[in-house]
Amino acid sequence: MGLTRSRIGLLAGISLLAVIFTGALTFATLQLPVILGNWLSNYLPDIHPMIEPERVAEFMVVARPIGYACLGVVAILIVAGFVTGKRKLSIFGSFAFFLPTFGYFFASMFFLAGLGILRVPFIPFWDPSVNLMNFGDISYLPYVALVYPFWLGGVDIKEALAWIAIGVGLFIFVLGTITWFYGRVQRKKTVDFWIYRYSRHPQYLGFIIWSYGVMLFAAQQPVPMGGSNPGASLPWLLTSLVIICIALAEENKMRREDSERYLQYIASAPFMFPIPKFVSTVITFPIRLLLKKNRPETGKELVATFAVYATLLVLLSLPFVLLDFPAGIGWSGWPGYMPAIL
Amino acid sequence: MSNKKLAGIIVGCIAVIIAVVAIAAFPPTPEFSINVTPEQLNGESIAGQHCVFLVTITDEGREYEFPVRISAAAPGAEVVIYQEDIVEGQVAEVVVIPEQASIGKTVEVTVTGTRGSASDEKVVSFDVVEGEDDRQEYAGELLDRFVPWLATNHPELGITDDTAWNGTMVSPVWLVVSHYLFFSDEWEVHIEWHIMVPPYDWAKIDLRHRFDELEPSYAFEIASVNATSEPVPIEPPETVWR
Repeated sequence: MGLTRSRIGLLAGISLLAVIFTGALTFATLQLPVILGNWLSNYLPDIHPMIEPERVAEFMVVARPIGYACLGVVAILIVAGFVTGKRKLSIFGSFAFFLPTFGYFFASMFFLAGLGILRVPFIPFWDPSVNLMNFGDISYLPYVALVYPFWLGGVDIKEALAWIAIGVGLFIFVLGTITWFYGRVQRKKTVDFWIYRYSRHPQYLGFIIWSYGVMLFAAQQPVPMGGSNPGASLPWLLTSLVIICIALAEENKMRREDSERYLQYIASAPFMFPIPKFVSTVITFPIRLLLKKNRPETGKELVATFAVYATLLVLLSLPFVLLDFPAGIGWSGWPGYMPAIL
Repeated sequence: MSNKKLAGIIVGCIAVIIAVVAIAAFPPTPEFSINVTPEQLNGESIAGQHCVFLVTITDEGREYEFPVRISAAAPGAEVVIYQEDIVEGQVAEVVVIPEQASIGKTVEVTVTGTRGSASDEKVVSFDVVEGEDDRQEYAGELLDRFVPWLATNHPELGITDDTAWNGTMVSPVWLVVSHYLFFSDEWEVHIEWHIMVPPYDWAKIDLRHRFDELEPSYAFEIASVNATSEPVPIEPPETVWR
C-alpha cells in the first residue's frame, strides 16, 4: 500500500482518533473504579476486622461459597470456549477472571468492602495457608528490571510505568480495532496492514499490556496497617496465557480459511510483537519439545500448551514465594523508600 | 495428539503444581530467635511512662538478608514500635506506655517477630504504680550541662544545642540515685544523679546509639554538679538502664 496524500490523511485521522480513545479509556480505567467504589460503599460499607471480627466472619460465610462458584463459572466459560470453538466464551471468561483486579483500587480495612467485592472470585486463592496469588509473581520481572535501576538513581517510576502500560496497551488495542474495522470495510479476509504489520494480534497484545498496567496499579495500592497486598499476578498470568491460546486458535482457523495468504502474512509479521529470533526460540522451546513442531494446531494441543506453560511460569514464580519477596507488605512497599542521593 | 498423551500432560502438570504449592506451604523456614532487653525493669513504672524495650534477632544457621517484622501487644498500654523491620545487628524499640487504668496492675508485653512463616515470641512484664513525672525539669537542666560540652568536645556524635530531646521517667520508685531517659532521633541518653550534698552530688550520662546498639557506647560524669565541674569520660555501663 503506497502512501498517497489521502492515505496519509486517513492514517493521521485514525491515529488521532486512537489517541483520543486511548486518553478517554485510560481515564475510565482509573476513574470508573473510584466512582463505582464510592457508590458500592453505600451498600457494602467497610468493616474493621479487629473491631468487628464477627461481622467479617458472618459476611465470609456467605461470600466464600459465592467466590468458589464464581471462579468455577469463569473456569467453565474459558474451557467451554475452547471445547466448543466459541472463543468469545473464553475471552469473556478470561476478562471476568481478570476483572476482580479492579477491587484492589478501593482502599478499605475489609478486603470485600465497596469495590473490593469484585474480589470475591479470588477467595479460593487466599483460603489456603499459602497465598496462591503469588504464584504468578514471575510477571513482575520486567517491572523489577525497569523500576530498580531508576530507583537506585533516585527516580521512582513505579506509578508512571503502570500509567504508561495502561496507555500504551489501550492505544495498541484501539489502533488494532480501528484497523480491523477498516479492513472489514475493505472486505479483506486477512487484515495485514498498518499495525497488523507489526503484530498479528494487536487487540490481544493491547489487552495484555493494558491489564499488566492495571495489575501493577493493583499491586501498588497501599494496605491497611498490619495488612499486606497479595497483588493479582496469577490471574493476570493465566488470563494472558488464555488470551495467547485464543490467538493461536484463531490463527489455526485463519490458516484453514485463507491458507495461502495467511501463511504469507505469518511469515512477514510477528505473533504479538517483534522479538529477536533467539528469544523466540527459547520461548517456543517447550512447545517444540512437547509437540515436535513449532505451534499447537489442534484443541488438544492448545490445552496441553496452556497446561505446560502455566506450570512452567508457576515454577518460575516459586523463588518469589519461597523467599517471601518482597517481604513485609508485598509489592506495594517494594523497593522501599527512595535512597538518598549524595 | 492422543487423549492418553493429553491426559498424561495434564496430570503431570497438576502433580508439579501440587508439589510446588506443597513446597511453598512448608518451606525450610529461616529460623531465628528474638531477644528482648531488658527482661525486667529496675523497679516499677508509672502511667504515661515510656518503657522502652530493645529487640534484636539472632539468626540460626545462617544470616538472612530478609528482615524480621517486629510487632507487640500489651493490654492496658499503648504500644509504639520504632524500626519495625530488623535484620541481625539492628535494634528495634518497642515503647510501651501504660494507661491510667493499669495502675496497680501488671502489664504483660508480648513481642513477636515474624519472617515468612517463621516466628518467635517473647513475653516481658512490669508493674504499674501510682506516681507522676516530677523529675523532668531537673533532668533537663542536668542534660543542658552535658550537651554544650558534648557539642564542643565530641562533635563526632552529632549532638548540638539544637538537638531535640524527648524525655521520660524511668525507675520512679528508686531512692538516692535518680534516673531519667532522653531520646533524640539518633541517641538515647540515660542520665542519673546522686541526690547528695557537694562534693558527692555527681551526675552521669551514658549514650546509646539507637537502632544499632544494645548497650551504651559512651559515658561521662560531672563529679559535683554544684561545684560546676566539667564532664569527664568514664567507662560506659554494660547494660542500658530501664
